[in-house]
Amino acid sequence: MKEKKKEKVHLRDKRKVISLINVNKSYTTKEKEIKVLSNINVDFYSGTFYAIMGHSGSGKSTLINILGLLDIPSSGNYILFGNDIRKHNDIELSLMRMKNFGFIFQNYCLNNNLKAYENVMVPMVINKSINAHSRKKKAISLLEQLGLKERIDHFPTKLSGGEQQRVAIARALANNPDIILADEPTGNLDTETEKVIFELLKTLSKNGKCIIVVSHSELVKKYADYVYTIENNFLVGESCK
Amino acid sequence: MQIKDNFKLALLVLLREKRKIIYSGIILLFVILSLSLFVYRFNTNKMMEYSIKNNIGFNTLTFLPRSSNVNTDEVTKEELNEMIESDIIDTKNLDRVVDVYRSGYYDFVAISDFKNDFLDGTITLIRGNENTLPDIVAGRPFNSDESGVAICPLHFYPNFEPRQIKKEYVINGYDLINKSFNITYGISDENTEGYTKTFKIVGLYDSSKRFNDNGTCYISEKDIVEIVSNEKNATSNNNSMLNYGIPVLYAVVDDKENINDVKEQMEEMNFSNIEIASVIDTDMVNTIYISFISVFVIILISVIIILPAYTKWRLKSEERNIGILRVCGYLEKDVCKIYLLKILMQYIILYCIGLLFFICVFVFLKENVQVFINFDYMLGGLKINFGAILFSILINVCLPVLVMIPYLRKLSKMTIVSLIGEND
Repeated sequence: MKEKKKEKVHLRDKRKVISLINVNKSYTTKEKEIKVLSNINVDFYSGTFYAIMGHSGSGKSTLINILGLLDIPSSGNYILFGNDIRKHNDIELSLMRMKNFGFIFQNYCLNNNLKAYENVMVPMVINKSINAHSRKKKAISLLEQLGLKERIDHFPTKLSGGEQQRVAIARALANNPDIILADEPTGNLDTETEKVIFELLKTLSKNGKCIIVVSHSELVKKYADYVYTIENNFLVGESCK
Repeated sequence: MQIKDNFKLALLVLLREKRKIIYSGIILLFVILSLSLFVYRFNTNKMMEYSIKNNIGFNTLTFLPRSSNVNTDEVTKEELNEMIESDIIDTKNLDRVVDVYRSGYYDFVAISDFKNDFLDGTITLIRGNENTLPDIVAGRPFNSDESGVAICPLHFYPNFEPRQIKKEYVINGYDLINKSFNITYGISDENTEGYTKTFKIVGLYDSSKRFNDNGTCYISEKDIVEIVSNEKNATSNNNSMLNYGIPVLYAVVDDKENINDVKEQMEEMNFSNIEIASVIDTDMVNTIYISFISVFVIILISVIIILPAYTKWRLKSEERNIGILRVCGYLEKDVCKIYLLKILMQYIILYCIGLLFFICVFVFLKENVQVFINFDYMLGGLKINFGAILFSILINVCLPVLVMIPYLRKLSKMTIVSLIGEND
């Protein structure tokens, strides 16, 4: 009872951002249908840090791609801020992605031909609410907040792994999205840097963002509010701190 | 997304792109090759046009007089001359015939007093009348009854090898209008002083338009007959067969198109051995044409295949960057525009560099390399024509960009997941 009360208190002040209802995902090859995700039912709230774990090939990245509107479920409902995404076309989904999501990848996925602040500015270019004059200022401010004041003009190839990932985090925050999706953000980093990144993400969740991290690392459990595991195509093992 | 944002992003990606030297070098090479080809084609066409259209030999008929069957033992030299003159007059009276003359009475090479330390003063004098003179660019033409007048080239180069021009010694024709010059000829053992004749330059013409060399002047029929006759008298035995033979006659027709008509009329008048003086070397013309087409096709195919293939290969390395743009919310059309602009800018910039380089080399060759200097004067100026620039833009900019559009659209339509690569 006490635990349930704690859960209610925990979620009461938070906003439901994503609901997956009976979501399935499968791929069809010439020979057969391959099921990746089965009957996924889960809600995600703002101000919460979620970890999704599972062995390699379990469908973690598929799930996060669906969450980030990079892929669509084979069946089931995806409700984003109360909107069923099936009602929207590609252009509208792109707009929703721009406004609501920030992405962080294992390989950082920075453009090596753009400087750090230019990489952060990329998502802002298509955001009409940010005018051209304030883009650079905002990008620099984000980088400074992430401890990269001295690296603003550096190209990614001149940055360490941890620095590159922080630039990627700054880029993910460029349009001030409510949801941050991170697919193995510390996969290429050492333990110390891993801690730094998870600390940053935790801080963001405390500031109200919904953080969803796919990770192999056991360290993520220390920071996550909820840990899910994908086993045999199902999402299992919700745990609560 | 605003077009200026597209432009800025495209420019940034272009300028910061690595390993573009080889790629740029290939594009530059094609630009220079295609420009060279089209400029060569234009100037070669001009040369062929001048050599055919403006070469009087193509509208000149050679023929034998009707008195060619006469036994020269049975007639005197004077009687024979009268017959020949009668043939000349009859031919001159034909419609569209503008001049008739005996072999040897068309042109004459003489030494003029333009001789100096650099030029030997050799000039070629050609007969002309109101109907056969070239277009005058300064001064005036002369009449048939005038004597002692000349029309000389705008860029006058009186030298033994008039097509091997040293630019610094070319005489500006405008400095010669209304000035006179002397020629000396007919020097022989019997006539050690020779003859001297004075000509006043009354007009100028563009020698390239007649495919003449730059040391050729026009004088009246009267004067050419006088000079040639004096020369013959001074250098030949009066009783030799050279002065007593049946000469070949030449009839100049007003236009190449009328030459066959005139030929028919002359055949009806019982003239024989009627031939057109100059015949187009169709083999040479065909060779030039085929070589142009071959090189053009090779360049075209190379541009269509090599440049887009190379661009596609380079774009493949941009897949992840394209994926990130799509992840950030960029639409397919935004991505297409950015990369299309980038490719277009790249081709345009490289084209401009190639064109500039080509122009510099072209001007350098025209000013400093003898064979180009010669052609420059022969053709009234070697030119880079607008058509060459236009066609080379079409081939080197428009065509590769157009070929890339379907690939770009395909790339931008790829799933985001496949563009950025899955981790799981």
